[in-house]
Amino acid sequence: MSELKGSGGELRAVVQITRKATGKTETVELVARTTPEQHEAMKDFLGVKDDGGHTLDSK
Amino acid sequence: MAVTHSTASRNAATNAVVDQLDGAGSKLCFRISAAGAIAATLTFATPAFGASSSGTATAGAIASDTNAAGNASPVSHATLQTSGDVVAITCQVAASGSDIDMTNGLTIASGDSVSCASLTYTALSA
Repeated sequence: MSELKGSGGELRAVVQITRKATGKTETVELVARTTPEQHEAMKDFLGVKDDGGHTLDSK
Repeated sequence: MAVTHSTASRNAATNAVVDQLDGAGSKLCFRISAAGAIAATLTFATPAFGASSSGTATAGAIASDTNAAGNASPVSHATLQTSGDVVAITCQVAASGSDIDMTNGLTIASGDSVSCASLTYTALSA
């Protein structure tokens, strides 16, 4: 059986840094992924089990 | 077969996370490690995010850090936390597009001014 893996959270931001040393402004687009621990916490919240089932599934 | 979620589920998940930051003074912190020193702290509006749509919530206006603490080490993580420093989200950051020299990673020097023009959060991408 294939190992099922969910998709983690993602944060995207456009950040600008104005350097004190030069006065110049630099722009960076950041992409951030939640950590594995965060991903597990979200799975618990939604009741998703590691085998792809749900905690509400009847036994 | 991958696990997928309905739009309603994805919105519920995203809102459950960002609603933790609804209180005044919630912060976006750029750190040199997951729980490490903070190089810059920006302040969210109240509430921090609007309602999730299609699984993604967009942050309101974010106040700049006009005098960053800075750090010689590059930024590796970002945390979104309450004014009482309860962390709701911890992320590993990477640059997808930049005009900064990223040879040594994204570094913020002491006294730099850091602003965030836009920020979105998606709890579940599928």
